[in-house]
Parts: sequence; C-alpha cells; structure tokens
Amino acid sequence: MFSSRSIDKIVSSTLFLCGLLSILTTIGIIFALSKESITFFSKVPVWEFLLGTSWAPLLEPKSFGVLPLVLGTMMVVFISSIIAIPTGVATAIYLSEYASNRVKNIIRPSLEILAGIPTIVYGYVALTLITPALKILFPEIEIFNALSASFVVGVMILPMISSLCYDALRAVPRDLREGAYALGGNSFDVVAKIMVPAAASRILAAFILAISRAIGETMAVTLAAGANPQLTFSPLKSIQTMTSYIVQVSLGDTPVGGIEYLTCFAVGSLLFVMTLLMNSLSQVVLVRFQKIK
Amino acid sequence: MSGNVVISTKQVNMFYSGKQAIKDVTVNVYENLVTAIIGPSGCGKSTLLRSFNRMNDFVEGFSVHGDILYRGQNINAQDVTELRKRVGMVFQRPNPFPKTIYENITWGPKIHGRKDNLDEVVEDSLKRAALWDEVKDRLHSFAFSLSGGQQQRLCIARTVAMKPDVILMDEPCSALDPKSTTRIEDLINDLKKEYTIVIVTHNMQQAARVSDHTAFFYEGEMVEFGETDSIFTNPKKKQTEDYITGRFG
Repeated sequence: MFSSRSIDKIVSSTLFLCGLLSILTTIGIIFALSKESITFFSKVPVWEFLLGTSWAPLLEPKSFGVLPLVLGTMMVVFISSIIAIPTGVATAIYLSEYASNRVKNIIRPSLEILAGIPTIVYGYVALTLITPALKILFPEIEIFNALSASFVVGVMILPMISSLCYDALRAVPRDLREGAYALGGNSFDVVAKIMVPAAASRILAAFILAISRAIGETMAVTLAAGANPQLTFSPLKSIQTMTSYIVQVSLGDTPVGGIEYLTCFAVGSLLFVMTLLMNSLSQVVLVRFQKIK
Repeated sequence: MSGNVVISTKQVNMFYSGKQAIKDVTVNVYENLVTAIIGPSGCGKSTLLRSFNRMNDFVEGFSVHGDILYRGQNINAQDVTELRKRVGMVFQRPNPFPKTIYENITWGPKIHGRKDNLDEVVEDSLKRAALWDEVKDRLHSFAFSLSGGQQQRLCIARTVAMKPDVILMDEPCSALDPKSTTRIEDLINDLKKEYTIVIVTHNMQQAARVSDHTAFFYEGEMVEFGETDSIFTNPKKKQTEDYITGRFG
C-alpha cells in the first residue's frame, strides 16, 4: 500500500513531532512562569525578593524575602547529599569491584525498588517512623523538622547516585582496570586510585543531577519538614522549602491574580533557574572532563 | 632445552562457562629466554598467557583444571597481588593511566609501599624501556600526549618499574605501526637479559625474530613446542608447517 520510502517519511515526521513536543512544553513553561513572574516583580522589587530575610506573603504585614525558603531548601539538599553521596558512591564501588554476581542480583533490584516508591510514601515514612526515632536522640526535635525530611530525600536520591556512579565505573575501559590489576594492585588501589579518578566527570555529573533532584523534591518535604518559613540553621526545627511553599499556596484558597498567587510563580521561576543551572553545570562538567581524556 | 624453568603448566585444561579453551597443555617457560606463543585467532594463546598472572580471574565463568607453577609453586597458592608483582603484563593496546608519564611509572611501586628514590625508579625504568631520551624533558606531561608506540613503551617501563621476574606480552605490537614495532622488538631483545619474557603474537615473522622458544597452538591444543629455529626451519608436525608457511590462519 505504502512504499517503504513513504513509511520512512511518516515514521520520521512522527518522531520529529514527539521531539518537538518536549521543546514546545519547555517553551510553554518558561512563558507561563515568566508572564506571572514579571507581574510579580513589577510589584515587588527583585532585590527585596532575593535578599529579604522574612517570608510572609500570606500574612499581614506581608513580606517577600525568599531567603528562608532558599535556606530551607539548601538545608535539605545539603543534609540529604551528605547522607546519599558517600553511601551511593560506596554502593557503586562495592557493586563494581567487590560484590559477587549473586549479591549484585539482590542489591540492584532493591535499589530500583527504592527508586520506584512514590515520594509521598517517603513523606509519611519520615513523619511516622523517622521523626519518632530521631526524637529518642534529640528530645527537642519538632514534629515537623528538616532533618527527617532530609533523611528520606537522601534515601530517595541514593539509587540515582549509585546507579549513575556504577555506570560511570563500568564505562572505564577494561584495559585500564586490567592494567592496574596487572601491576599487583588490590581492588581498593584499582578502584580508588584509577577507576574513580578516570570516571570522575561522570561521577560528578551524577552528584549534580542528584542534587538537582533534591532541590525539586516536593511531597516528602511538604509532609515532613513543615510549613514554617524561618531563617534557621537548625535541622531540628520546622522549615519550609521552595517546593512545599508552592504546594501550600496551590492547595489553599488563594485568589487567582492576587499577589499571594503571583508569589508562586516567582518562587517557581527561581526553582526552575536553580535546577536548570545545576543540570547545565553537569553537562559542562561532562564535556570539560571528556576533553581532557 | 635446558635452563631454569620459571613457569610451567602440567596437563592444564581451561574452560569458559563449560566451553573448553585449553586442552591438556604441558609447557615450560625458561629463564631469560623469550617464549613465543603463536597460532590462529581463537586458539587459546591469550587465554593461556593471561592465566599465568591470573588475569582470567576477572572473567565470569572461567575455570582452570590442573597446575600452573611459578618457580615451582602453584600460582593459586600464592598471594595474587604478589604474583602479579613478579609476573608483569603488557597488553595488546597501550593502556597508560590517565595520569602523567611520571605518575604512570610510580603508580605500581607506590601502591606496594615504595616512597623513596622514585625519581631514580622513573629514570631507570624509562631507560630500560628505551623511552628516557624522548620524554626526559616532559616527565610531568600527560601520558596520552605520547604516540602509540611511546605509550606502549611507557607501559613496558611501568611493568619494569615493579622489578618483575617475568614479563607477559599479549600481542604488544598489534596496535602499532611497523617502525614502533621494530623498536619494541629491539627492546624485547634487550629486556631478556634480565627478564623472562612470554609473548603472544599472531605475527609469525615477529615470533621468528624475537623468540628463543616457540609454542604453536591450534584449537586449544599445543601442537608443537621447541626451539624457534627448529620450529620454523624444520617443523615436526604437518599442522605447524601449514601454519607457518601461511597455508591457513
């Protein structure tokens, strides 16, 4: 019925449309975010938003300093990275150089299961399991707190870090690995001094992607960290992250078009810029290091 | 054939997941001589070579039956890192580490605890690998800035820096141009004064040029083993003759 050439053309244009879809979506998101954000910034100066230390857009007197939200987000990112990065790298190293095939066949699917658990589930695990456990260690801990949220975000990004790092280590040329073993290196010498440095760019890119995922994580932190935007460095206190603020406003009865409503888009834009920067950074890291090799 | 036996196998069989790669091979490698292993692709020559320093340990499903002895001791009874220190290896493709020339040489000695006189080790090893004059002014530049032939000599220098007893070479010239190949072959002639060398090659002229003993393998079996001159001028088996005269392989 159709010639093979016309089938080829249909397939190719269908695939092109699919590709186009993602570009259009991105453009659409940027448009939606910037339209409302521009309205917001015409009412609140950018510097007041970025440098202000008090966030209370829903209460009188209103204040629009986003720093408490940024700090809350950063605290979750920082603590979860401290938990997930060393554990993830260690898991990858173990899987790549030490684990027998049988152990590998247990650990890798388990990590995939971790990655597949809905994030809201992590949220109430934090609330009902981790916070009570932490209370034994720190009696002064609040019911909603940054620490338990960071803990589950750490567990959430762990599979991503370990599987990307594992792939990075596997991508090190076999010749290099064998060359190191042939000089009488033990597994630790080979992995720590040859393979990890050789895979450094991809490992670093994995960290950045995972951090970017932690920045954008929403449900677990909304549930576990609370809704209390305050400028604090104590992980035992209740905080609010950028994402959980957006949830709070979206679910509340904020009137469309009001300044409270617009804050959502300003915070969303900032979030978008942050994760975009992180993802671009990971691309730069990959390309830069690949050139050296 | 006489002299001290450095490596020997006694009726060794090797398998990859049940598929036999080496059949009943008994062979001796003699001190300060070059032993060449020749044969067509897939005849098991690399498998045998890689089993001498237990590099096949990394291959999933690989198994050895029978004894492989290094200096009279079963290699499986020795500490594998210690064995590999004594029995070094140069690979088919140059595989320098993504580090400087200097660091490539010192990596091995360092992981074995050597901290002093590393400069001396570097100079000595590079001289032995006939690379010193070409790189002495840029020891701290990246190893990948060297040509393929230089990289392979760097890998030889790196192996020599471990002060090994035996050097295994797995088709060390197959990725190199003719000029670099000649340099490596000259180097092998120099190195055999101090080291015992086993070289796998698919290039029969190379085997004839560099080796003292030759083992001819076909389909996992050792067809013939003897002094290189007699193998090439007066082969005892028909198969050997066919192979070296280029009738197959």
